[in-house]
Amino acid sequence: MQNLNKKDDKQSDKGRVLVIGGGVGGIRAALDLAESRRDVLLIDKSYSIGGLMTQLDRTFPTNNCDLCTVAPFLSASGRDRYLQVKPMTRVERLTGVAGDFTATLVTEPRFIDIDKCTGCGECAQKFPEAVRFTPGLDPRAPTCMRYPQATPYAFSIDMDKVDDITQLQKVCKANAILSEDKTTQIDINVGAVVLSVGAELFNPAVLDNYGGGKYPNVVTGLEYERIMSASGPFQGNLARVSDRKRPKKIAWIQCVGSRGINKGDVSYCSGVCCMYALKEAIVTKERFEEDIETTIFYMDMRTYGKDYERYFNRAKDEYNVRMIRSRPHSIVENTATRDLSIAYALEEEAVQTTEEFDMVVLSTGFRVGDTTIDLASKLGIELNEHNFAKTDHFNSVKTSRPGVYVCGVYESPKDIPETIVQASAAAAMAAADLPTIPAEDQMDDLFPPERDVSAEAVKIGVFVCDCGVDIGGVVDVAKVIDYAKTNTDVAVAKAVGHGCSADSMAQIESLIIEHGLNRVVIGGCSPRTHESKFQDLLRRVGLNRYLVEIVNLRDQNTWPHRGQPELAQEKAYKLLQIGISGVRKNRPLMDNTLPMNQNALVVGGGVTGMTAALKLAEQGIRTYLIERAPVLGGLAQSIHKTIEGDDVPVFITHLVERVTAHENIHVMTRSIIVDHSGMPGLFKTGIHTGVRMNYMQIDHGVTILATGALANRPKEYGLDTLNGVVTQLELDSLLDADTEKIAAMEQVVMIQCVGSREENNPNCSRICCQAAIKNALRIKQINPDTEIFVLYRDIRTYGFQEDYYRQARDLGVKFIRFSLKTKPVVRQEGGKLYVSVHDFILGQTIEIEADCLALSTGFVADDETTEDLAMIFHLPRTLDDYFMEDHVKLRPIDMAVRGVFIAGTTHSPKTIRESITQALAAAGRAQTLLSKKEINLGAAVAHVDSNKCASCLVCVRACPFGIPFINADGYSQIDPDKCQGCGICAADCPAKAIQLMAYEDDQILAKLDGLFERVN
Amino acid sequence: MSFQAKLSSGEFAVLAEMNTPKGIDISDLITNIRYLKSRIDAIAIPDMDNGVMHMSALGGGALMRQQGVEPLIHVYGRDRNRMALQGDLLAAHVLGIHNLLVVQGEDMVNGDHQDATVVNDLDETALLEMIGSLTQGTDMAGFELKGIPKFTVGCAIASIADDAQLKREVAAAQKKIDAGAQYILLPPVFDTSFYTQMIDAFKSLNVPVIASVFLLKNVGMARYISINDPNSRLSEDIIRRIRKAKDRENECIDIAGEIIRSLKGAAQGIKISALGWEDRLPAILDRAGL
Repeated sequence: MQNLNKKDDKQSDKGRVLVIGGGVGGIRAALDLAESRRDVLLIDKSYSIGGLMTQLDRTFPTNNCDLCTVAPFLSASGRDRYLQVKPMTRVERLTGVAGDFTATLVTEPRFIDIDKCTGCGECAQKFPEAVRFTPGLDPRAPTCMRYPQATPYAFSIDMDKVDDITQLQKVCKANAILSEDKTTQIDINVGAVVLSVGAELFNPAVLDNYGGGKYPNVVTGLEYERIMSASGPFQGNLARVSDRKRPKKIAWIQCVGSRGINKGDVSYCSGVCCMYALKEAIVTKERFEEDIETTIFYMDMRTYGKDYERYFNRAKDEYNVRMIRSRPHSIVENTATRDLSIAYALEEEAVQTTEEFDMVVLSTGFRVGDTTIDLASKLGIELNEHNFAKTDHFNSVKTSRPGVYVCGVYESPKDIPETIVQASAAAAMAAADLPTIPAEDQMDDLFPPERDVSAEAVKIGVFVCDCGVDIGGVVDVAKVIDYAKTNTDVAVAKAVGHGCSADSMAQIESLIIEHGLNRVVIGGCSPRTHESKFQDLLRRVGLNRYLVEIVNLRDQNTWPHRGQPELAQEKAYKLLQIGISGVRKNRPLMDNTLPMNQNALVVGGGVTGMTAALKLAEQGIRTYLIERAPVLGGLAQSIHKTIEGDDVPVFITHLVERVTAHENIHVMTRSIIVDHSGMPGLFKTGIHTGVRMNYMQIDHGVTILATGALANRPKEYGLDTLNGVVTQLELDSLLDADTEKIAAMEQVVMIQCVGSREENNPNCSRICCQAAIKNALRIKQINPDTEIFVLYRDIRTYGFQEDYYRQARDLGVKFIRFSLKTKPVVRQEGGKLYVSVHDFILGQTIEIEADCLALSTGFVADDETTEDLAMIFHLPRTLDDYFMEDHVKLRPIDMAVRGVFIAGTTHSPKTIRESITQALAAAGRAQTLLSKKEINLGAAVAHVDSNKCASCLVCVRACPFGIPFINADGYSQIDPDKCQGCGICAADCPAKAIQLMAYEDDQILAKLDGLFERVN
Repeated sequence: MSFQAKLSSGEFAVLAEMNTPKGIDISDLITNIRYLKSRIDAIAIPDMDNGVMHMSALGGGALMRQQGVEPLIHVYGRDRNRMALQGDLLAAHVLGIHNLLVVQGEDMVNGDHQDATVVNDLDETALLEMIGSLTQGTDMAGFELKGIPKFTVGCAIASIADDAQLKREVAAAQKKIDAGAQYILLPPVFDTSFYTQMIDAFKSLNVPVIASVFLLKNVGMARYISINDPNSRLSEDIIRRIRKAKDRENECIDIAGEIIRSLKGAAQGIKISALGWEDRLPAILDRAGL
């Protein structure tokens, strides 16, 4: 919270970006900018940031807890010095131009002093009345905080629901409740604006056939998430709203309010509902009871994202989720049992059936709300026909107003990874509108000088988290505290709830100062995720960051021993004692640093690579662009038009010109990578150029892989054997080159999913449905009389692509579904092509004569190249040979190796526009790393005691990195800049001359003593 | 035994290629030579014939001599006119560089200084004739030299697509020999049976024939060569072999070693290039049994 009320001392700073909307997209954009040392103001109309994702239960496709996944983002946003958060704030006006805007901000009264509020919850307990049921089934108190990781960690009061403010004020021990608070308005100067306001969810009450908002056991997808969520109304217990009983039979109905033409419907596809319905069905089976029957009613299953088709297959095959292809007619409630009866018709049967369910989930999609439409007019940006922000066809984050960028659902319906990608892209675009950072601002130390503790007696503070119920639900934290106090040098021991929350951190800070503590033990979760956070806390109060020990009471105790609380209690004592005994021996250590190389390497000179290189170069970063072909352009060179009708060759020619002419870009065509070494910030990569194989090594700080994918070409349906059988790419060329030939065609057949969604290439190629429809529309434009038949399995025209699908149907393009079991058959006779397929609606096989058969062959990963590069750069790949990002949801651009980013079709199949967005995002992420100028190597490096070293060479041989050598003075020398801190030499040294800093022998022994001293 | 003596005695000569640095840090070069010098007959130092600016071969050759290794340097007409070429060759002799290979300079489009002025005063044949003239004691203008330099000079052969081209190249090589070339260096080929056939064809010219081999580094590089340099005859089998290998780098070293072994009977020498991975040269020699 320390930054929340900080004075607006940089109000006249044109170097600042205003981020509107504190959902996961807005937070990512704000953090990217802050990490790049750009000042950011993040505003949200809600009382805490987090947006929609914090209300979800689990996230597909990993089925991790959503809140746990996003919470570190929220708290990170609370501590960054470049980032200021203003909740309950909206934009009233935006004047000026890109680089010099004035934004008028209005902040609503909170009636709580967030500096005083401790988030204790007393007020919420005493005044839980006025319960509201939307959105998301949460009973809301007038003072409302939805979940324990809220940022800011403070309550807020809905004054309309309060009768007597003095009664409420009496409850608050912290005196944080204000009887008067007023709306404030300020003008601030910003250089750019990022819009991440999301969208609302469709309210199904406006439809009269499904009983949404009327029948208690008909809920929306989001309400179902809340029902399952541990922070939801039933504390994570799956129950029906009507009788709180566990449902046995649940149905999901897809496309409620989306892809429709009826009253209240929108025409577009909301893009995420298929996956969330599958996820909810899987999680229901996984977490609750295997025998709960789950059924999904759908029109087309749109699992077009990375690895999503596998998830769909798992739902069907492993979890036995029942899939019914039908848009149900209506739902009728049995007024006695509150059970629900769904009436639906199957494609192949004319009669309607009804079936009973205990509970029905309506998969509702995204809608733009009135306040957002109003905001758009205040910001002066244009909207598309669906009231979403209108953006550039080749840059999905650029709105109609220069300097204003958009990300997330407000651009078009999309899920979390694509929102994150757009957020990073929008941040990168916004940063380009700001003045460059003066060099003197770049290296200031954020922390006060360190206190010298060497002469002080050891004074330990022990702080133990309950982590909600994760720790506190298994062990008695109060007893653990009592135990810690038995150590005489423990000056303070205290339970801190969520130790990582802003108020607990503040409390720990003040206790350290008050008691003059010089060692700290945190009993909480994993040091892997939280150590740096507490290390920063120590630095803030002037202590060296190595004076803290993290004891993992959660992952290593309460999680695995949930069923044995007594034993877990004992283990908690022991683990804590190890930490206390160990921390006594902790010494202040200095981190080693190296200057970061400021060059970038971009591998792959297609649209993605060129876009990323250009963005980096424009920010003054010297960029090497490596392409194995003789010319830049990549696969997009074989595309002539986008579905929006834009000319791709013109776009590429222009892009190539800009890239080639840019003084900061060094283009290396006919080049391939042969070796790679170094560390993040100091990479060295060997490149061969030309058939003469000229070898050179380049030094760079970051790497972007944009090596693309291959156009698939499976030998199916007569491709390369029968005349007239072409791929969609070839048809696209023909449409451009020979309109007469097209005009002469009477019948054209297209087959979808050729070589995709099958055993050897199980995922969806994503682009083929829109490519087929694009080509069909272009044929119709040339000759409206040409009959076109599209044979498909599911039409996956996600988002606004749905409009083109509808347009194609309106123009008479015929769509005939087939399944893997009824694949079309192609034969040629007398120079003519004949395609036969089973028509489910007619219930018989039909044969179509075709002048041209276009196969939607999609993408296949460039296995040979990704395998080679994965070995060279030590990167993981997916099962189908694309590169695998660090986290499918929240880190879709970063690889597990720091400093390496991926973009474009090397990540997964995507359109040109989507590839460009990811390229911009990768460039932005790369800049966050390069902005650091220094590489922190940590302090955990091997140190040789020259007096003990016998020059026996054991360390020289043992080191897997070849770092130790015998120096001129005759003893082993280990360069701290090169040491990887693995500790192998320290373990092997027969003379015990080598110590690994931060893991020294006396520290390890002290921990062991701590473990065993109380064992009787 | 000197490189020249090896050639005239008919013994198998081993050349390793080393590039000079782009810069003045010669430490890698010196380190790599230390492990090689007892196992090879000469170090071949390309000049800037590939179009990439780096330390000149003249300097590199002199450095080899300082390190006690016999140098062989590339000479070509793209960057220097006849004045500079003659002057440098006289300097070369004095600095102890007595082995030359006349090559064709790469098109500057493929280099790193694309705007450099191209000279092309002398082509390969004219260069060979000029060297011949110097070793006879006169410069190109016909003036007598004070002290006469001695060189063992060879010529390089372009890559060969088929039998017809093989015939043409043999004829072209004959002209270069007539102009003064004393040995022939063939381009690298991965199909050893075709390579043997090539070597035999050039042997008819009655000068020593030296084969070339370079180290593949990974599948990407092998694929690039198989697509873009079909004359190198790098087969799908080799690519598959590298992909299947547990230790791909080791497999690549094996492949280089095997090629050298199978050419030992046919050629009179081998030039090995590791293309930046010179620290692997000793391992290649091990596998080749040299």
